[in-house]
Parts: sequence; structure tokens; C-alpha cells
Amino acid sequence: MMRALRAEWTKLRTIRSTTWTLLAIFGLTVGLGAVLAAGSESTPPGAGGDNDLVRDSLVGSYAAQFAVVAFGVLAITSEYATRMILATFTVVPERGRVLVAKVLLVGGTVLVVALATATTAFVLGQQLLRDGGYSPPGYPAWSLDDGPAQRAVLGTALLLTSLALLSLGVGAIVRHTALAITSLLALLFIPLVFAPLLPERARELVQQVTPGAGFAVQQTVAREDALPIGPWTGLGVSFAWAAGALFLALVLIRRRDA
Amino acid sequence: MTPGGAGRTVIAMAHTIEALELTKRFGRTLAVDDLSFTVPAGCVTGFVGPNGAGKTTTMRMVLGLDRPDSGHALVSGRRYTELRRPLREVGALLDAAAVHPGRRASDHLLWLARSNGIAPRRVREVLELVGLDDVARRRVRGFSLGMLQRLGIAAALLGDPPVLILDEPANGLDPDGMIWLRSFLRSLAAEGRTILVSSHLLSELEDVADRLVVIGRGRLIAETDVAGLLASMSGKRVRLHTPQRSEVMGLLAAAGANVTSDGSDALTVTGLDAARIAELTAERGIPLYELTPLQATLEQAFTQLTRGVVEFSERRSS
Repeated sequence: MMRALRAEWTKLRTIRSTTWTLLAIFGLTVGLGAVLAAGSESTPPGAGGDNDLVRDSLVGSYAAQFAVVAFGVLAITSEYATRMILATFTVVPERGRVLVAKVLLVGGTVLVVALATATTAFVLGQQLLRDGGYSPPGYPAWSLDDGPAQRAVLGTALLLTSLALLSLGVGAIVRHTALAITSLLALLFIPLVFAPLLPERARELVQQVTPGAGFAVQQTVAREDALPIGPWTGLGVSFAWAAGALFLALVLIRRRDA
Repeated sequence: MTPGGAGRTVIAMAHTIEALELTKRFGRTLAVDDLSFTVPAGCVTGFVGPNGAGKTTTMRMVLGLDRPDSGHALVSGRRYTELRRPLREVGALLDAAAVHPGRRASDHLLWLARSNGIAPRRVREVLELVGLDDVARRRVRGFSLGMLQRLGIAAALLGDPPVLILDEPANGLDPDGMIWLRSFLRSLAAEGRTILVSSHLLSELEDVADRLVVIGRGRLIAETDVAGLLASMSGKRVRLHTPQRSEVMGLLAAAGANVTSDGSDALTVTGLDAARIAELTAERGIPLYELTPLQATLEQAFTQLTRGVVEFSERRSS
């Protein structure tokens, strides 16, 4: 298993797209969060309201999903596209090990990068929001010492990790880059855009069972537009999707011809 | 007792490749049909057949990439999928172009080495062996097909394996590359390695292969050694040149020979050997300007063998 892990790590670090995709996760989350936070203003400064400042500072993670999906999918489909998978399965005939190694590396890499990303986005976002008038007494000053803030930041990193693993699983199942990315973006963005248009009961159901349920981990205020699921339960739904996809991928990867 | 061999049992393992009743179907197409053959240890076996004959599929089954519908294959007596560090047992080149274009040549070999616990310094060695050390740090994107074939052979040699399986390694090579490949294969064979090398062009394997496994439409057509095959095909055709063509044609035909004319002065005779033709024409005082027993080429032997089983559809074999 160590050998498969080292081989997969060597693959990952020797193509440039790895760096670019990981930078995109950071840039999209922090950048978009900063732009939106800087553009939002509360007047007069210190006035109250029901804005969820913790969630608002992490809103860029919605955009980062694109990069996360690409990273997870390409970790396996690029091998099918180049047919390099033949070499991979020839040198490691126990294909399950290849998949497990990819799970550990894709998951580990995204977790580390996303944790740094979410922390940065949170700290920068809080500063910009405070400058924009979201300040005491109307709004509490959030810091990384606060439990809900910690949960949201760590939760965001875990959420993006679960989405990367789901993408890896879907990539391994469909073995085709464009098809995998299209399916995943549909799964992630169609509920986001269209669920609010559905009748309430249907909307809630969709938001509770799709992989985006994990975004509930960012919520600290019970607002109208909050996801109708608990923070950890929502994250559990996202990981359940990842686990399901990876399990199916594991079964298929061993049974199918390479 | 060999030095350092105290207490160590050395099992002499025969490095062979065995296909045992391999059958593989893709939908309705029977790609490989009850195919059995043995690649003996220490010699170069050419695996030949027309495009689409099932060569690649057979090799993929040997390497555990495709699952046979029935039958199985053994490498050095074991199933490939049971090998813990396969690169040390079998080096394989299936598709030289199957590399990530954005990765540097040495990095491509490095991940392969890592996967089997092979020391990274071996990467430099195999690159030198195939003459790619100058481009080791270049991204594979810019490589010609010839360079990719060399990179693929380098990858196959990483684990210094006793067995090599090479699928169409001559594909895309220029004449210089062909010369290099032949001499390289011969030197690998001289080191005692067992080599199975496929080609749809038998001429590519001339002077390289000791033995041939010939397949067509997924079935075994012949399993033979090259010297014997050539011998059995030779001496059966004779070319002759004479000013009295029609007389000779009548004479030899009456003696039971089959005489064909290709329109020029030369005649090709089958069914009589050169000595008998010389006697017959001498009795009549007919002058002969040329009388040559034709040595069969490997290509002719191959054509003879595969006649009627040529599969025109190109399926999985490339």
C-alpha cells in the first residue's frame, strides 16, 4: 500500500494542473469572499440585522466547488483520457489499492488546502465586513476562538474534501472527464439554482438530500434562506454521497476491463 | 555452495509465458478464441497476425488488464495479478502513447519505479539505456512516436525483469529507430530474457525472433520456430530463365510441375526441384540461363500461413 501511495503522490506532484487547481480553490474562495464582503455595507455602522457573517465570509467556497470537482475528477479521468491507466493497473494489479491511494491523497491534499483557504477567507472576510459597518453592537465580532466559527471553518474544509472525494468516485465510475464534470456540476448547482423555485416541502427535501447539504455547516443564524438541515447532519449527507460513489467505483474498478 | 548462498534455497524458475485456452468476447465479436501457446524461457518469440487478430487483447489478458471469459495465462508459472512487484518479473509495453503529456519523461518513470519500490536512480539508468538521457527533464508532450516507444521500453526495463511483453514496439519508428530496436531486442535476448514481441508485419521480426506464434481471428494458426518454418518453405520454388520458354513449359508440365510465367522471360516452377529440372532440360539440350531455387522469406511463409484468415476489421489491436 505504501508503494501505491508513493506512486500516486509522485503522479500528483509532477503535473502542473495540480498546483493550478489547488491555487484556484484558494483564490476563488478567498477572492470572491473578499469582493463580496468589501462590497457589502451596513448603515449606519453597528446597526443590527440577521446577516450570517460567518457564512458570508465563506461564500466563495461555492465558487471553489468548480476547482474541487475538477481536481477530484482529473485525478482519475486524466489517466483514462491518456490511457495511462493501463500502466497504472499493470504495475499495481490490485486496483483497489490504486483507488485507496488516490482517496487518501486527493482527500488529504484538499483538506489541507481547503483548511488554509477557509481560515484565510474567514479572517479576511470578518475584517472587511467589520470595516463595512457589520460591527458591534448590532453584530458580534467573530473570531477563530468562537466555537461556531471554528465549526464553520473546519466544516468548510471537510465539505470541500467530501466533494473532491465524490468527484473522484464519479470520475472512476464514468471514466470520462467531461461527462464526470458535467454530472457533478449538475448535481451541485441545479439544486442551488432551482430548489428555491420549488414548493417548500420539495425544496427542503432537495436541500436535505443533495451533496450541497454540507454547506449547512457554515450557518450560524437561523435565516429564511438557511439550509433546512443541521450543520453536522448536512456534512454527513455530503460524505455519504462520497462514500457511496467511492464504494461503487471500487466495485467497478475491480470488475471491469481496464 | 555459492558464495553468500548459505541457507538460501534458490529455486530456478522457468521464465515462461503460457496462454491456456484463453477466450475473450467483446459483445458479439469473438476476439480471442480458445488460444493456447507457450513462450519458452530465454528466447524471442514473435507474436504475429494481421491487425485485429487478437494480439493486443491476448497481451492484455496476460497482464491482467482484461478478464478472460475462460482460460487463463501464467507468467513464470503464476497469474499476473498475483505478482506483488510485477515490474521486477515482467516488463510490458502496451501503448507507448499512453503517457500524460504534461509530465516530464523522468517523472513518468519515477512514479512507475515508486509503485514497485524500485530505487529512483534506476530511472537515470534506463533512460541512458534507451538513449533518452538528454531529454529526461523534457515534458512528454513534445516527444515523437519513436521517442515514446523508447520511453515505453525504458519503463518496461525499470525492474530489470526476466520477461518482456512488447506490443508493436516498432510502430512509428523511422528506419534508424528500427535498426536500433532490432539490435536492442537482440541484446536483451542475449542477456537471457524471455521476450514476447508482437507485430502485424513479420518483416519487422526477421533476424530477431527465434520462434513465432501466429494468430488470426483470435485463433492459433501456427506455433513454430523460425528456422524450421523457413526450411519447410524453401526449395519448393525454382526460377529459371531460358530462350525456349514454351518448350520448357510443356516439358515441365508433362513432368507434373506447375509452371507460371510473370510475363518476363523468367518462369517460376513449383513441384519439381532444381536438380530434376536441370536433368530434364539437359536431356533435350535446352539451354538454361538461370536456375535458382527460391529461398522463402519469412514474409512469404507468413502470407502462406495466414491466407484465408485475414481479419480486415481493425478492432482492438493497433
